Parts: sequence; structure tokens; C-alpha cells
Amino acid sequence: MIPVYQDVVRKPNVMENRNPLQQSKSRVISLADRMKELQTYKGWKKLIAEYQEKGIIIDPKLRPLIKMVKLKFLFIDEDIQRALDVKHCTNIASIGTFDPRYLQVIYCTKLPGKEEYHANDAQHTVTLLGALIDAGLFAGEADWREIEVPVLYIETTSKSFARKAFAIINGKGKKKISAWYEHRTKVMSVRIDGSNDPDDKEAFDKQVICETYNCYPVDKESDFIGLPGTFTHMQALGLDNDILKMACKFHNDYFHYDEINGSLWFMIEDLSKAFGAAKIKITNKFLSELAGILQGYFAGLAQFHDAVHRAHIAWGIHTYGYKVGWQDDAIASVLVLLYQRLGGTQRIPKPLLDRFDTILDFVDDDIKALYEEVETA
Amino acid sequence: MSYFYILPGPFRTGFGITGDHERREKDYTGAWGGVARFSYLFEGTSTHVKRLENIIKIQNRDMLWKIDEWETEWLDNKWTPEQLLEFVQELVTERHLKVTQIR
Repeated sequence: MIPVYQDVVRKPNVMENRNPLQQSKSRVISLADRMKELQTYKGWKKLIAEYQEKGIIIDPKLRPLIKMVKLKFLFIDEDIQRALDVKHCTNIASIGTFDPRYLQVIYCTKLPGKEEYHANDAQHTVTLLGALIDAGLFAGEADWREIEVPVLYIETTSKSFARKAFAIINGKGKKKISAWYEHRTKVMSVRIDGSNDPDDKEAFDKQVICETYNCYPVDKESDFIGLPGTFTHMQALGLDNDILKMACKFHNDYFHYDEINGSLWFMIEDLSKAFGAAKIKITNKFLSELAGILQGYFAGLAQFHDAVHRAHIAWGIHTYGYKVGWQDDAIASVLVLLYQRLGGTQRIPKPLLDRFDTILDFVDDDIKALYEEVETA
Repeated sequence: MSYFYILPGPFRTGFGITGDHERREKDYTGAWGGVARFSYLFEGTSTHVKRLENIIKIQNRDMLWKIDEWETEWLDNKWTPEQLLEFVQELVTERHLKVTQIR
């Protein structure tokens, strides 16, 4: 028998007031405040104490300098930089997307005593900039050689330093912008700046769907992780809006007290697509029955997800003789197979049942015991 | 079956899950050189017991005793085993967790 879903008392979701994407006004924090934040961090204090204990003093002259430099003084070391990607240059300069305000400062190493700046980065930027000027596309500028660009440089004869600098600028050692921050930029562009960019609006629409159902995307490093309704699986925002809505609604209807487990998105997407293709309606009764199984047998999606992973590994080894890679469509399949085993009467699209038809033989024994007890009775 | 336990440690209140609570008590006894006995014990399927532990460790992380960034399975701020018991009993009732208190 399918366990009946039991209501859990709904408490106000604390994320409603703490949602970091909620703000509609720009907020500026002083550098001093940011420094204070860093200086109160235990790890930082420990590091500074270590510097002081070792008597380390840093030479301020080692900090990079900045200067406006004529393009003719820029050079590119082919053994340090990658080959020029002419297609990439052409794409950056595309009509409608190219905006000179996005041009970046050029990172260089300067040979001591010489007016030679070796670009550690941005060869594509300077090359296409020179070529655009040469094509007469910048008003009032004709000779690209004489045009100045901002250069951030350090003086050294060491090529190995330039090599390392190139690696750092191109990602190594740099804190990458997470998928959540990318989403945040788009949402804030609409909420704060009123952006009409289609990409920004699409992200905003998805954010609104999530918030409508008390679901909140948060960064993987956020302190909010684990709070009810939060999720870090940003691929969810790539789902079709109707599927996203269905998933968020399911969470809010049945598991509003839990953080969102990544399995939700795969489960709802696969159910939605399979039922849609078979032209079978997903009813509220069916969803409530699925929620009953998830709650009654697994105490929610997190433990269900773990159980499917374990079953999938055992099933793969039994079926193929070795450990096969994870297949996320097992999530929906296990759930509907279990649903049928427990006597569910909703018609299920056959592809969902066929794909992993023997996988229930590999679920944990204590779970198996629950439905075997039912079958015996 | 799996078990969720609450134990009064020499310094603070601890918790955890195990498939063999007698063995686990002996492990603690061996580790801290004094007889360890779980004050309270809950029994249930592995999924529900694991979920119970996760709710404490994920949703209520601020309860945990931390050493730098490491979150331990000991409680901070002078939580007593009885306070944790009350918290767990409420969770079990509110969320319909299929675990039963056996000690």
C-alpha cells in the first residue's frame, strides 16, 4: 500500500526575508567595512599573526604600476600566450554585442630600461582593438600605433614570472564567478537597473517562479545552505519554465520544510517529459501518492536520492559486470517502479518502467522489507 | 535497523547514527577511557534515521560544536542530552519520521 502523505505544519520560511536576490535597491558597502569583515575572520587573524611572527615585510615597490601605453609598444610572446583565435576576436567585435566600455586593462611585464610591454593576457582584446582602429571605426582615430591603452605592469626580465602571471590571469588562482553569481547578476540587472536584456529577463522570470513557491537559489558557499526551500543546483534554472514551476510547486506543497535536493529537478523533468510524450496527464492525486512514498519510505528526497544511487551502483554491477556511470533518469524510474510495486493505479509511460526494470531488486534491504511486508500481507 | 543515539560526553553532548549501538558504545568507551552509555536511543529504517541526523547537521548547523571550519557531531553552547532529546522528539513528531525511542 502506498503510504499516505502526512501534512507537516507549515512555518514561515525564513528565506522570505533573507533571500539575497530579493533586493530592489542598490547597496554600497565601504572598503573599510569589507576589510573589517576580513579582519574578524579567524583564519585571516592567524595568517597575519604568522607574518608578524616571521618578521615578514613586503616591499611596496613590488606592487604593479599602471600607465597609458601606446599600442605600438605592446608585444606578445608566442611561447607564453596561446595562438591568436581569429574567430574569437571576430565574435567579440560582433555588431550589437561589442561595447568598448567592456575593454579591460592589459596585464604586461615590462623589460627594465626598455619601452616594451609584453602582454601576459588580452592579446585578443588588443589585437581586435588595433584592427578596429585601423579599419577607421573609432571616431577621430587613424593610426592604431599611437593610440594609448591602460596597462597594468610589473618590471622584470623573468619570463617564468610572465608565464605564471598569464596562468593566474586566465583562471589559476582566481576566484571564478559561480553559476549562482552569474544568475544573481542577471536578476539584479532587472530588479535594480530595469534591464530589458532577454537573458536577464529570462533569469528574472525563473527567479520569480522559484520565489512564488518559496524556493531560493543560493550560492554553494552560502550560509543559507540547508534552510528550507534553498537549492544550489543551478542547472535547475535551465529547465523549461513549466517544468520548473511544477518542480517548485511539488516542493512547496509537500516538502516545504526541507532544503531542495537535486533529485527533485531530475525527477520532475523526467516525469513531465515522459508523461507529456505519452499524452498522460499528471494528476494531483498521483503527485500526492509519490510524495507519500518519498515521505513514508525515505523521509524526503535527500535519502531517496541516496537510496537510488546505491541501488543504481548495485544494479549496474549486476547488469553489466562493472560499476557504470551515474544515470540521473534512474531517479524517476525507481520512484514509479516503487509506485507500481506498492499498488499504484496511475498509468505510467512504459519507457519510464523499462529503462531500469530490475533496479528495485537492488534497493536497500530495509526498504525492500517495507514493501515485501505489504506484499506478504 | 539503524539507530540514532544521544550521549553525554565528557565535555559536551554528542549524537550520531549506527547500525550496531552496542558496538558503538564500546568504541566511545575505548576512545575516551571511561564507560560510555547512550542516554537516549531511537530505532528506525536507515533512511529515516539518516534524515534525522541530517536535519541536525544541515538545517541546524548552528547547534554544532566547530573547530575552525570542522563541524563535529558534538553540540555547542551547553546543550544537555535532555534538551537534545526534546528537540529530536519534536522533529520526529512534526516531520512524521518513522523512528521509535527505545531508550
